[in-house]
Formats: sequence, structure tokens, C-alpha cells
Amino acid sequence: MNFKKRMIKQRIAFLILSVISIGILFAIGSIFFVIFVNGLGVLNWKFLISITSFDFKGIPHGGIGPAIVGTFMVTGLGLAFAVPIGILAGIYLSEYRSKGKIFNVLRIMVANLAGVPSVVHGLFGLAVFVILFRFGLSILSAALTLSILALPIIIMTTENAMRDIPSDLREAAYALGAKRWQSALFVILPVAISKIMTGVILASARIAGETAPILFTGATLYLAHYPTAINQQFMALPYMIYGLMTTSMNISASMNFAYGIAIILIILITLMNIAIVILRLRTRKISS
Amino acid sequence: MDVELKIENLSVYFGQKQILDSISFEIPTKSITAIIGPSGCGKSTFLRTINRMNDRFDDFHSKGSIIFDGKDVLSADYPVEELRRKIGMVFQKPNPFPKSIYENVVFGLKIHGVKERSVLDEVVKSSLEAASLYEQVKDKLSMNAYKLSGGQQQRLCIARALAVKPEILLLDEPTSAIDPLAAKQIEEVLEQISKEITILIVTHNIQQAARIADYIAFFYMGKLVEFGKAEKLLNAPDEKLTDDYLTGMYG
Repeated sequence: MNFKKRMIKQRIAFLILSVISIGILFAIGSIFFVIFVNGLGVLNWKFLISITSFDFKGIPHGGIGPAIVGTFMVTGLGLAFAVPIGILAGIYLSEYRSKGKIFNVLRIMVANLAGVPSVVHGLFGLAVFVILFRFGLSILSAALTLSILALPIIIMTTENAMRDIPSDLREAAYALGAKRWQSALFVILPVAISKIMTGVILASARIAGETAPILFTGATLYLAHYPTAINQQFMALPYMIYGLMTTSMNISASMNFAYGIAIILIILITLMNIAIVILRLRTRKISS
Repeated sequence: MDVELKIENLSVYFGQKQILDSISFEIPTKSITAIIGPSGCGKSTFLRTINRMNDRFDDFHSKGSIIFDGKDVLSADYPVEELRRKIGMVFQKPNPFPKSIYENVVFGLKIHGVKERSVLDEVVKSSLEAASLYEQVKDKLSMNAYKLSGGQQQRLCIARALAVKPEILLLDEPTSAIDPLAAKQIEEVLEQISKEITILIVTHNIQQAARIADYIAFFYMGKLVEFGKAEKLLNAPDEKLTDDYLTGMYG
């Protein structure tokens, strides 16, 4: 009797979990379905490389080349600032300051920074990089703003990846007369690097898709040319979707174009996530 | 007998807790000194005090001195990195770096600024030979050290420590994590290299101490109970505590 009861409970639990899982898959699947059905029509080679133009009815033509280049530039430059600083800060927290009240507070602040709404980062970027540092509305200002968004992710993954390395490796290095930085850089970092890379990719996927931080710092809705220098304004994929769907003259005719951009963004971020999976598999191989 | 290390009134604390209490004795040069005693008697802490490995812990502090080459290694201005180059260490669990065999051996030299390939090659050969590992790995020096067996890894760790030409080698129960046959090989290596450098080995294995040690120090509850020639201490100890330990009354 008791056994039967348990069996029924088990069945019910299984059923509930299955329904929830299928529900989630369905929700995600329908997002992809809607985006791909609406956007596939505009996708072709030209869409990726040519410049956007609007006809007199406000319908977009051509492609999204400048926005792709803009997104790559601003993401790449943002990472160029965030990766070295973030990794060094993570190393500092794990190898030099593992204990201490001040540093625990610092850790909480870094975690908080990761949770701050991205539009707040945008305002900060406007105040500091655009106005105070006089970088203006530019790729540079936007990249710096995005780098602050990426920093906490990189710092936290670096610190955790370094901490996960057993300390007998550190002792082995110290016992040979290695200084702390030598042990960190030559022994611990090479082991931790693939885990750190997953954090870096996670951060780049995050900042490539952000709209709010670039809104006030340099992104523009329309450029008739490719960006050529970092003091110029730029187009970006997520902001272009926003623009087409809110401020363009003919929103309904722009819809498919926006869906096409969404597909490109999804593909970019999927590629980054595949890279993370590959790196994780490699890490597992090394540590086993 | 020449003295390599002179321990004077050494007391060691972790926070409020005293681990070692007024240890004084002299470690003879170019010989094997074994430190024996029951678990928790402070023998590992003693070993790690000599090359200042305990400095890593915030609540560690010590009194007394350890005189090496006329200087007190415990004094704050003694350069720790230099000390650890001269006094090497091998740990209980083999801990090679996840790098090639070659890179493991040359690591110490590289961080001390040696770059010439010919010098590095030569040291790799001589160090691996001294650890009697060379014949087994000479054709696969670029292989990851993790692929070696436990005993080979521990001998690689010995080679890695020898590569920087230390004057003293500290070993913290180096054979307790590996099989008896591999342990025997390591004992042979230690006897061989003790002709050139001073060896200080912590072991809980009295038979091992009897096989390889020239001198034995017996620690009990943070105190040095007895120190002397191995044969004398094992066969006719002065102290009753030592006798009790050796005859298996406790420990």
C-alpha cells in the first residue's frame, strides 16, 4: 500500500516536472519560431554587408553592415578594456586578498555591480565618459561603458576559477622560491584560463546584446557609412532593432528587417555559447 | 660533524595555540635526519617553519631562531625567495605542475632568471638522473607530468626541487601517498643525494627512519624529546617516552 502510494507520488512529481520542462522548451521554441519565420525573408548575403537606406515611404532597404561592424567594434573595444583589468582584479582578489573585511565588502560590491540595471550604466557613461572626460558620443564612450558592465562578470569568474585550483600547486611554486605573482601567472593562471575564458565569452555575449548602456553614449539610429574611428558615433544591432520598432516612419514595414537583425544577434550569441561549451569540455579534460 | 641548521629555542604558534615549544637542536650537514613522532606532534609544522611556508597563514608567529649560513632565517628581513631556493621542499602528496616534465624541472630555474637553453637542458638531465627518473622519461620530456604514476610524480617533484641546487631538502612524509615499491625507490634516491645535500625528512614510518636516517629527532606534543644518531636512538633511547613510542605504546 505504502509502496503503491509512493509510486503514485513519484509519477505525479515526474508528470509535473515534465510539463514544466516541456512548457519552457515550448516558450523558447516559439520565440525562435516567431523570429525566424518573420526574419528569414530578409536574410541574404547583401543584408550582412550593405548599408541601410530608407525609401520615401520609410521602408528600410539594403543591409545592416554598419550595425554589425559597430557592434563588433564596441564589443571588442569594451573587452579590450575589461578583460585585462578584470582578470588582474580577479587574480588580486584570489591570490593576494583572500581574507579581510574590506575585501569581502569589495566582493559584495562587485556582485552588486553585476546586478545594477544596465540603463544606470548608460547614465554613468554619459556623465563620466561623454561629458566629464569629453569623449563625446562615440564608440570609445560606449565601449568604456560596456566594459564596466563586463567587469564584474570577468572579475568574479577569474576569482572563482583561480580559487578552484588546489593550493598544493601554489605551495609547490612557493617552495621553489616563486613570488606570489610568479605562482599566480605561471602556475595558477594557465590552469584557470579556460574557465576564465568562459567568463569572458559570457561577458561579451552580454554586452553585445545591450541597448541601454550605448543609448546615451554613442549609438545612433542611422549612419550612411561604416564607422572608421573610435571618436565617431556608430550603429549597433540591438539599438537598430529598437529604432526600427519605435521611431522609424513606417514601423509595420520595418518589422521584418528588425526580425532579420534579431536572427543575426541570436546567431552571434549562439556561436559564443558554443565556444563556451567547447572550452568547458577542454577544461574537464585537463582537470581529470 | 658539521652543522647545517642550528635550531635555537624555537616556539611556534597558530593564534593562541602553541604548536612547538622551545625546540633546540643542530641538524648535521650532508646526512639524513628523520623527524618522527605521533600525528599532531608538530613535525610537519616544524619542517614548514624552516622554509617559512607557514608565513602564508595570518595567525602564524614564532619565537627563537633557525641559524642557516650564520643568519637567522626567521628574521623578517631574510629574503624568503632566496631561502626557498636554498632550502627545497617535497610534499606529502605529489604536486607536479600541470605542465610537461621538462617545464616542471626547469620551473625553479626560470623564475630565478636562468634562460639559456643549454643550461636548462643540462639541469633537466642531471636532476632527473639524481631522482632516478631520467631513463624512464628521457624520450617523453614534453609529456604532461600528470600522466606519470604517483611514484614517478613524486620523483619528478624531487628532481624539480633539486634543479635549483638547494643546500637542504625538506621532505614532508614523501612516501605516505604512494605504494611501497615506489617508496623504496625514493628512499634509495634520498640516500644517494644525501651525499651532496642535507636531508630533513618527516616520517611516521619508524621502519623508514631506521632504513635511511643517519640521525633521528623524536617529537612529542610540540616538544623535542630526543635527538641523536639513528642507531642509538632506535636501539637504546635515553628517554622513556621515546622507548614507549618505538615499542608501539602509542602513536
